[in-house]
Amino acid sequence: MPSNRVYFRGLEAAEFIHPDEMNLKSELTASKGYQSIVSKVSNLVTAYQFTNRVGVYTRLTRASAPALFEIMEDVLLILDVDCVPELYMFHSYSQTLLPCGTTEPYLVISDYIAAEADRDMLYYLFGNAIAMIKAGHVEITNITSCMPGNLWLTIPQIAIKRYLHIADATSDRGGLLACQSFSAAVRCHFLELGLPMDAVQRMFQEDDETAEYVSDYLRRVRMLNAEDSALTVLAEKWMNLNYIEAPANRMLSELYRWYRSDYPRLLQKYRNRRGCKDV
Amino acid sequence: MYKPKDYQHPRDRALLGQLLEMHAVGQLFDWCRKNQADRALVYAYRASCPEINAATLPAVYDMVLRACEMFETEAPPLCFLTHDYDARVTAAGLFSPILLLSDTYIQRADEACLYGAIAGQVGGIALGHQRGIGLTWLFDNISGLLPIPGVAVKAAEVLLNQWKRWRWFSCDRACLLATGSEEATLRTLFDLSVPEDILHRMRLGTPNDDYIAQYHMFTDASAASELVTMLNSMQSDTPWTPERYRELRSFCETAFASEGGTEGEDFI
Repeated sequence: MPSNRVYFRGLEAAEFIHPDEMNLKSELTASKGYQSIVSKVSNLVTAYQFTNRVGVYTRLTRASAPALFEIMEDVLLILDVDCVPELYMFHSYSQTLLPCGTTEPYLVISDYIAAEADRDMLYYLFGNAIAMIKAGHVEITNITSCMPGNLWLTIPQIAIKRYLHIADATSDRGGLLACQSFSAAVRCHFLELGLPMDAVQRMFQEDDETAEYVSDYLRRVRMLNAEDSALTVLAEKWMNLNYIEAPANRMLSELYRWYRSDYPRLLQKYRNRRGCKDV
Repeated sequence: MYKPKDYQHPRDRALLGQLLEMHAVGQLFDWCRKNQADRALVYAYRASCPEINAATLPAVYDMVLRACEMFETEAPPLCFLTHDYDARVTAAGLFSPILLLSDTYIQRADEACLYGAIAGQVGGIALGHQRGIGLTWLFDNISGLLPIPGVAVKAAEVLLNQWKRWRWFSCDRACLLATGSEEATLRTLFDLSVPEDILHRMRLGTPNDDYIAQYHMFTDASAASELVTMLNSMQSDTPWTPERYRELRSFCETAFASEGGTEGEDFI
């Protein structure tokens, strides 16, 4: 755990949002097609998710899960988010901590990650989810996940997915702001990529060494992609069209670039800001 | 020792009875006997799962024997260990009952919950649940080979899906009678969903039961959410947790008070 965490009092989403997301979001929210879809579908999605939320998941409280609530509430303070979302748990062997819902988001965490992740990883995961709430893309993510495959919805779905892929970069930045540990962020990424927990714990403990590893890893990924650039381009187009989440290596690359560029400046700005609180 | 009338939910009894009385299901069972479907199922499990017995997992097998004695089953079911992160204890088989226990659950559950989960399914086996579960296996895996028309399969599936949701209430009641503990039985509703430390702090079955608020969220749902829940129920073979919670708490209050216990509300 870092010896000092910076609390970003007064943090605006615009300070960490991916610039492409801002442009795409403006285009999307301004379009009549988007407004029409959201207004019709939002209440339906809330009702659709009700059964799982209340009938299957288990709602956690400060009394039953004090450790998780302590981390969540600290992350809310760090990222300067006013609302306290409800927290639900479900049984899954997955690295899941997601905001769900539409107009009133709630968080859902898997029992596996709650038990296995270390404290800094949980800060990252909560930060990732809460950054989605702060940046305002929970509703659109959940509506998209409920949209059926339909020829008439193809074009709006492509536009929404393009937006969501960029929005993933914003969530990752929020996660890093919350945990302030690049090694913890990378542990989460490589765990999701499939490395076992003991391997990620062993490999990614110090930020500098982790950054060096990630830089080398991404260089090797680029070399591999360049061996068959046509196939790489085709694969990326396929993923862009079909997946709600951005490709994992692209997300890691975005996070690494931001870690090396704007992240230290943002950290320093809030450290220097009068009235900021360090732990 | 418990008889079916002590714990079988009336809707479980009624729906299972209707299902087994269907002419098409009778034809299907005759065909299964003739083609030794039972033996095929046992063969499949023996070929793919380690057997649980007095030599392999004696403590677990002892729980099965205790449960069988409690619910007066004809013989202990064949027990197999499955590698399944998402399962607890499940009945299987067709005419000869089989009990499947998840390796993850055996490691994760405490002794009371493990015994309760086993007893719940053994109680179901004493009621003949394996026949309904076996029908599910047949429809899911070899419906194209069955000697009954598709329309009869569909009719049986509708009834089967309703029954599969109600059978859990009987199993939960059996779990309660076997453990003698409302708290331990309530824990079996959540012990796969939340870790032990959170489960302990939920204080289930006490006046400060953490789940009560969520239960009220479910019962106070909006009309749209209720409708969606009803539609989702048609595609699910387990009741929603608040329904099991309500049934169990209701049975706890009236256990042994009347024949068959309480009717409970109609959830579907």
